[in-house]
Amino acid sequence: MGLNTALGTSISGLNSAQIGIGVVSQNVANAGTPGYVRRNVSSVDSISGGTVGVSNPNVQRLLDRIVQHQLLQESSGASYTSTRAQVFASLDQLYGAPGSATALDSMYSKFTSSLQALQNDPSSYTNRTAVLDAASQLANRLSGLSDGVQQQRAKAEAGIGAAVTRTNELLDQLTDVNARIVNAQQTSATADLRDQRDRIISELSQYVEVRTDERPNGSISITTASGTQLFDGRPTVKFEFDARGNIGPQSQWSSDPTKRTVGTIVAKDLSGNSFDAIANNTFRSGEIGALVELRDKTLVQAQAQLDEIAAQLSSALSDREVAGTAVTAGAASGFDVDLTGLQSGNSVTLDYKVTPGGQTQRFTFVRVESAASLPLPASAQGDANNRVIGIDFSGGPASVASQIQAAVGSGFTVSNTGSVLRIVDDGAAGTRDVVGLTARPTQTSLTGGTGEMPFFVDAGRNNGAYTGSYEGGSQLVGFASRIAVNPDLIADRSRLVIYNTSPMTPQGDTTRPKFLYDRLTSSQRSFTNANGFDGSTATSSGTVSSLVQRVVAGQGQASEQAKRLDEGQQVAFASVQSRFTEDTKVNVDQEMSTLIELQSAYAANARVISTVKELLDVLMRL
Amino acid sequence: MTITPTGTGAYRLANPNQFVTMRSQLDDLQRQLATQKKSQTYAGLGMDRGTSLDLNNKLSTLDGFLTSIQRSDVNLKLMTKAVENFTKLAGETRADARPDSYVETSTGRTSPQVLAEEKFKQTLDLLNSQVNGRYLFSGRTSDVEPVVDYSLIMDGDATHAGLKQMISERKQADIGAGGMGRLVTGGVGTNATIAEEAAGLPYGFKLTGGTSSTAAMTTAYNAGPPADIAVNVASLPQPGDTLKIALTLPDGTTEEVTLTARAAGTTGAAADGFVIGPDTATTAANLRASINAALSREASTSLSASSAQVAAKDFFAGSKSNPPLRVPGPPFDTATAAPAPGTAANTVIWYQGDDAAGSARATASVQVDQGQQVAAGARANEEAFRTGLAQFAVMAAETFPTSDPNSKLRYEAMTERVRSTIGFPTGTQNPSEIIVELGSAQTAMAQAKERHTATQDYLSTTLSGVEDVTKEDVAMQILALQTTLQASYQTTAMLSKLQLTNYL
Repeated sequence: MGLNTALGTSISGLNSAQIGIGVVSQNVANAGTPGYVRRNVSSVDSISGGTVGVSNPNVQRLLDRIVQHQLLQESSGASYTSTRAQVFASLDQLYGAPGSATALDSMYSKFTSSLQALQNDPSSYTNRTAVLDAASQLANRLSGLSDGVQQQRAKAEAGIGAAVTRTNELLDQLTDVNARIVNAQQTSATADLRDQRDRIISELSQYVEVRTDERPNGSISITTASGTQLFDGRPTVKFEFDARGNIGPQSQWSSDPTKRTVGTIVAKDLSGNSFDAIANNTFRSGEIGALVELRDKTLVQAQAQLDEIAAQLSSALSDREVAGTAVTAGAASGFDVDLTGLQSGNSVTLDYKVTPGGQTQRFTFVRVESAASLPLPASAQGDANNRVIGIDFSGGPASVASQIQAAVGSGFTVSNTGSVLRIVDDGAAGTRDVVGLTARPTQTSLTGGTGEMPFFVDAGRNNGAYTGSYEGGSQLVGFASRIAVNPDLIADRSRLVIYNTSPMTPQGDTTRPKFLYDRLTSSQRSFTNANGFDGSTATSSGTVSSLVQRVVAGQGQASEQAKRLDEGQQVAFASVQSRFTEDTKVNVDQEMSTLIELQSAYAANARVISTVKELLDVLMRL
Repeated sequence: MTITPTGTGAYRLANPNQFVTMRSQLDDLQRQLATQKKSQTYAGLGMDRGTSLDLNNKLSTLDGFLTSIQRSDVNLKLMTKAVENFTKLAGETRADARPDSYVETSTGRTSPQVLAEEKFKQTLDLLNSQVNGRYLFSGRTSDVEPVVDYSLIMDGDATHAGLKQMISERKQADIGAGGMGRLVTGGVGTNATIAEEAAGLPYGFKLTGGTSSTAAMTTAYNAGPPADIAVNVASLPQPGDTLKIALTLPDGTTEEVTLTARAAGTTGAAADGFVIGPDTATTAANLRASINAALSREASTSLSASSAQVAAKDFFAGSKSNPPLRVPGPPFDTATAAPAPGTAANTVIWYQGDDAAGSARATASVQVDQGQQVAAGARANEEAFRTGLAQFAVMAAETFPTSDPNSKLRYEAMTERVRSTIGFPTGTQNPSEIIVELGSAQTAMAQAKERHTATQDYLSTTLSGVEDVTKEDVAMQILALQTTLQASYQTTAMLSKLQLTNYL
């Protein structure tokens, strides 16, 4: 090995040290840049034509691919949980601070207390006004809450639109960066491009849960967790979102485009085929997943709970209970009930026992005005022990009886005499026992001679009484946003006491105030649990007061749960993030020691060159 | 908190997050200190939110009960006071109305009568008591003034007959055209007969028996109807022998007319006895005159007082849905049909309040607990008030002119009746019964109040345990957090300086 070889080797060493110092300077400069991955220079010995040198210094990014994948996953999870937690927190705040005068339950209690006061002095103008004030405030609170829920849904709708646009943009940006990586060599420049690509993917993961897969040529392919491919060198799908401006309680997502009244995300692939990404469940996590879930499930349920409160409140005060009268027909026994006054949406319940065995079961027949309203929507279907069946009343009483007969089957005999419906059991066969038959018509007059009165009305349906009608869509949906105190009652508040005009009810009569108070605080009502508090769908019963408490508590519970979930997710995210950072971070101390090392290497190489020069000089002087 | 002891990048990501978290914790603690509440939302209460909801609801209900009790207590106290006053007034009138208190006056009214009129007016005011526009003695129609005013009750107006008119009508019907209390007397020769005018006549005297103390006058009583008494002077009676005629009056009282035979030449009122003549026919004629005189005196004294009682009783029994009974007429003195209800158009209805069936107490109720209702109503037309008012009114309505020779007797007949009725004899409602009932309502409410206050205290304490924070606890937490935060800041600052760069 001659001097020239040594000189060559030293020069390549100098070169390598220079590159190294360059990388160190880059690392130190970017120590604070988020997403910057520490570079390292690896030197390889090269022997070419007898020359040994340090060549082809490779700039490498130091990171753990597995941790990076985890990070992507946790980041979409974290954005999913934090989006939910935020919405729940603001929803929870709508219900008011515990015990405060504006809390929903406090307003409800105020209403019942005012009725109680009225009962003690029914003729007092002050007491009557207090009842109406409390009722109006409660109705306003319900519609305020309902508006709040719908605003959150509208925000979710807008959020989905923004997120979808951003996702498309990110996928486009990715195309460019990805192409350059494939074309460039493995240099420090590609390291920068890779950093940029990772940043894009990491932002993408906040919207959609993604999996990445790097090809040997450096190109990347991205699929969602649900398996839809998003990117393979170029975007494989493009998302479109048809945002709707007006979101109300009636606006619902449906896989049937003719019934859908909110926006949906359509994914178009390269060949121009498109599919509904929400129906396909493409977005399970990430911000988009969270927003879709909030808009179509969580907030819809919150609205349904408010609607249930409004409907129960209204019906409790207005629905009469007409109990059937016992009859026997030969060996068969059962009940007669008069269906006069039954309004659209009002129900008739048949309680029976399957003998022997003994558990009481129920059929609920709901009046509808035309076959077009049948079958009833899924939310009204009841459960195994309480089957809810819509009966078309347009064909007259005989047709009603035959429809009921068809619904209940052969264990019963259904007949009618005019509007009086008779249901008897199967007599001697003894497989069914009719226990009760009750009609629940809504009282639509303020002075109908009964304690019941249309206290609350549906302001969206011409201030008509709330009957739970299914004509032109369920009256229940969004009722919380339309509930109002009967304007006729506000105009003549003596109707809080006077339930009959002939003979005239005395102004000090306690019958109606007491009735209204009892209906709210002690009458047992059954809640159609389709809107699932605590996840159960069975029909349950309780007072209206307990329903209000359950809804508020349930909402608090859900909010707390969302918060805890988010806290947990943030911890997981932070821990993965910190692991990732530990691998990729720039340690300035380490860089400094490398610098010292490189400095000495440079000095040593320079020393070798100067030694070679001296040797050559000595040679020249000979 | 862990701090990785390496260069700038180390704490760059992790630490600021933790600082932010700690800062927000500090902010929340500060809020807790200011509001004394654990949380601003039900979510923040955790598992206790159910308790909070339930307790808030219970407390609100209790508040409602307590407010009702407080308000009703005022009403009940006023009602009790009113009834107590009424009792006192009735007692005074009972003491005043002595039969021997008759004094001739220029106005025809004695001082007990004048006092009774004032008491009548006072009672009407008491019965019209109201609190916050709520009439306490009006039953369910608490917005209606229950009792009309004094002059309308007594005198009526152009179209409505008042009490005085009704008393007068009843007197005419009872006394009859002949002034004999609807009895017919007669007889020829040695006979004298007394008979009721017609069978089943609802007015005037009813004959219930006739007896004589001697066989010289045979007396035969025929129960009828119509009842009659036939007396035959068979032989001359001895002075001092008596003939007694038993009469029942419309108000249920009985009178016995005693006619005593006296010797010729002695003097005495015809209404008290008869002169024994020289023969039986003359004696019988004297007896017939004496019977007429006695009956007509009885009619204008005790029967008149009795009529006033009946008329007043009927008048005060009237209410809106049940107007008072009136004698059909005019003419009244020949009326034969039973009294029939008047109409609101022609008769004063003194009580305008609620008169539905059922107990007066049940006309207003106070809910003092979930399942406990206290009955606290009252009506001005309860029997005790009616009785008292009728007696005051009779006293106030009658006049006893000096020109009337029967004034003293009539006054005595009136006061005797007033005394016995206004003492609330057994079988009629006594005002003290109303006081006792109202008192027991007050007791029930006081007990409920005590119970509710105790429960309220307990629930408030429990609720405060759920919703509120203790200052000390929060202060300690703030202190601990502050220390940690300071330590973190300091360590971080130190670490950031600990770099190789500084030492090269």
